[in-house]
Amino acid sequence: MPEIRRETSVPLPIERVWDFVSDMNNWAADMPGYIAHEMLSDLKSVWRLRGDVGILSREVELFVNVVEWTERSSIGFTVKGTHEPVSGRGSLGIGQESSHETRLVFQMELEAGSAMGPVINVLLAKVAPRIADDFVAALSADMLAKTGYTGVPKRGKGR
Amino acid sequence: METDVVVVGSGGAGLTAALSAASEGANVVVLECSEVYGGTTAMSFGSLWIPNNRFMKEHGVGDSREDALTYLRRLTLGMGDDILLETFVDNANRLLDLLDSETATKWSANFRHPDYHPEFPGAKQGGRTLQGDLYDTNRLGEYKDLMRAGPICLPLNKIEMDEWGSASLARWDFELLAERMAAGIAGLGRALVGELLEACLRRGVRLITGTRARQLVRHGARVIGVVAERDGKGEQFDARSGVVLASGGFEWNGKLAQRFLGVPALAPTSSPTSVGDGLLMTMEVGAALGNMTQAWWVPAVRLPGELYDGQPVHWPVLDPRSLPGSIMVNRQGKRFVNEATNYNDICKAFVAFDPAAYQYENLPCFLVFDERFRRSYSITTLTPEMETPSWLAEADSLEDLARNVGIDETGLRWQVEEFNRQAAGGVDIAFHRGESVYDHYRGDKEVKPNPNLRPLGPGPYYAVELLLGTIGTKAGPLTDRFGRVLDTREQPIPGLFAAGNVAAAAFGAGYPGAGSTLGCGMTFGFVAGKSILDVVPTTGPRRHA
Repeated sequence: MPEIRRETSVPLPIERVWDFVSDMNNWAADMPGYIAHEMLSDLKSVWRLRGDVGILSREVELFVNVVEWTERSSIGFTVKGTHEPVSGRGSLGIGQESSHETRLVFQMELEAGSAMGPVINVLLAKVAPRIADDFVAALSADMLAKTGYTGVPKRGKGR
Repeated sequence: METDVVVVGSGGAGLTAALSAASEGANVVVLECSEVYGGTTAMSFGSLWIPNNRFMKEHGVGDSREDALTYLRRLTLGMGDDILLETFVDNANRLLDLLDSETATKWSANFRHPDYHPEFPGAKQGGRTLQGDLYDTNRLGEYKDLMRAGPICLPLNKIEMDEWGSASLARWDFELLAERMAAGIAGLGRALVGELLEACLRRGVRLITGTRARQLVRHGARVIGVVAERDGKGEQFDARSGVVLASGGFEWNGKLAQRFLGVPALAPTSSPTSVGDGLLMTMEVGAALGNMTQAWWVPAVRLPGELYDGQPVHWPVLDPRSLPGSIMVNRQGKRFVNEATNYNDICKAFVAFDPAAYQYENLPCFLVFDERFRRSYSITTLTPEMETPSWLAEADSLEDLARNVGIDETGLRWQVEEFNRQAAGGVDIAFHRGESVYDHYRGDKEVKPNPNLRPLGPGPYYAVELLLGTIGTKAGPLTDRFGRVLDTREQPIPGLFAAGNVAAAAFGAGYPGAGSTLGCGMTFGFVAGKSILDVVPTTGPRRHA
């Protein structure tokens, strides 16, 4: 599956955005298909999601490992299925656009292994853009709601 | 809205009825309750069982009207409607003519695929099952993304599937399949639906999704239309010539399934839109019912947490039962049937009732296999190299396995020892597994002397519960040789026709061969589409005599 990138801006200062995104517990439920997650340590967690590839949806368990942590800048992570043959990586990056506006960039790529991998990857490539759109929209809205913002969030853009 | 013909349902039977009528110049509207076309047909292998077809003649494989009828009469245990059987046999190839003239489908006869009871008089060891080719969905334009896609929707044809071997998905060319998928190529049942949709559109058939027909409209005794729910409102669709119901069965309607089928919990593998709408509509207008305890049965496996269209997914289990290194046992640990029996008839053994214990003696039942099987063959989408998931029980010993899943330990140990003693010589005295050409079709030809049998070897061992599944009920209103729905006095209800799983199938409890559901449903769809316009389908020269 090719890398998906989504970018949006939130009308919040970078410090508040960082406070929000740096704690996974704040936004875990914004991930489409979220069922539950468990922090194993500061950097490692296990997530249960309902993965939907359009023709089928299935509960999957993913091991997430934070491999990059740059204060007020970005969090990079790897993803691996605990039972499903799927792996990938992603990142959540932020950048100051002004004193009260912050850019949010989400990037993700996921690859299915096993004999059926090529076909699953075609399905993933079809659904991934929508999942990324939904995640970024939910994350932004949640962030604004939890920080007490009452204005209208800007629309994001992506590829 | 008013038109000549209203067809309810967009599976194979419905689209064929629409095309059949439209090809005679009728204005036709097809109402589909879901947002996508194709019904269970789009989730199927897309095969048609057409006896005495031209491919058999071209290849010098003998068949005849009489052979086909002899076989069907044997399958229906002499209890079938002979007129309907003759109607099917006499019109199946006319259906093929219609598909040849209206679609671009390239049909092939599968000469490897025997009828499901090849030992019966009139049966054939190959050739009656026809399979289509791939379809480029880009030809559908704006309808391209409106075809139902099911869990088994890979872009290959059935002949390819047989060549690659359906025993293990790991042997398939998934890179090729991925390329086709990315290019919008469909295979199997989706390809058939694509061809039918394109042909219908070319003939000016109006297709409407999200429109659920709920009630027939009558003027006196005559059915003149339907009322359907659309966007939360009722809308009437008037039909000058009549209505063809092709809305599928009732397997997803728990109440109807329990009331009529009389079996314990059912595991449908079909489109979740098959909730009995057509059956209820015909009952409301006094239709006679038939075949009400029958379905096209299939053993199935449920993988916890998997959903399709918001409903649990039940995967049909076809080959694994027939492959060497596996057995099927009940809770006593006993085998009770030749595991390689065709999927429809094996399920009849699932519902054997023990009057002394007062329970279904073979439910639950389990497919048990060894490590060599696990690392050689696929079960649903689980391929040999994948990690064993939680839904597949695994244990180092047969006793531990039995204890884990609720099988009698002593019974299972005895059964495996007994089975292994005979399987070492390639025989199964109790159930004759591996003696039929049908069994061999689903076996592993690399295994000698019997492609369906070998002793279970060392552990670990595995077990998965097999459920009583169905690809669709075949029960509902009685129809006559013109596809007209009959009332309780067995008189035609004017203006009302039915085809496919919504109706009582001509095949009764029988399943002649691969493609029976579509062969039967689409043939009667063809008949209904002509009859509704008072065009007699059995007259006139055939394109391929």
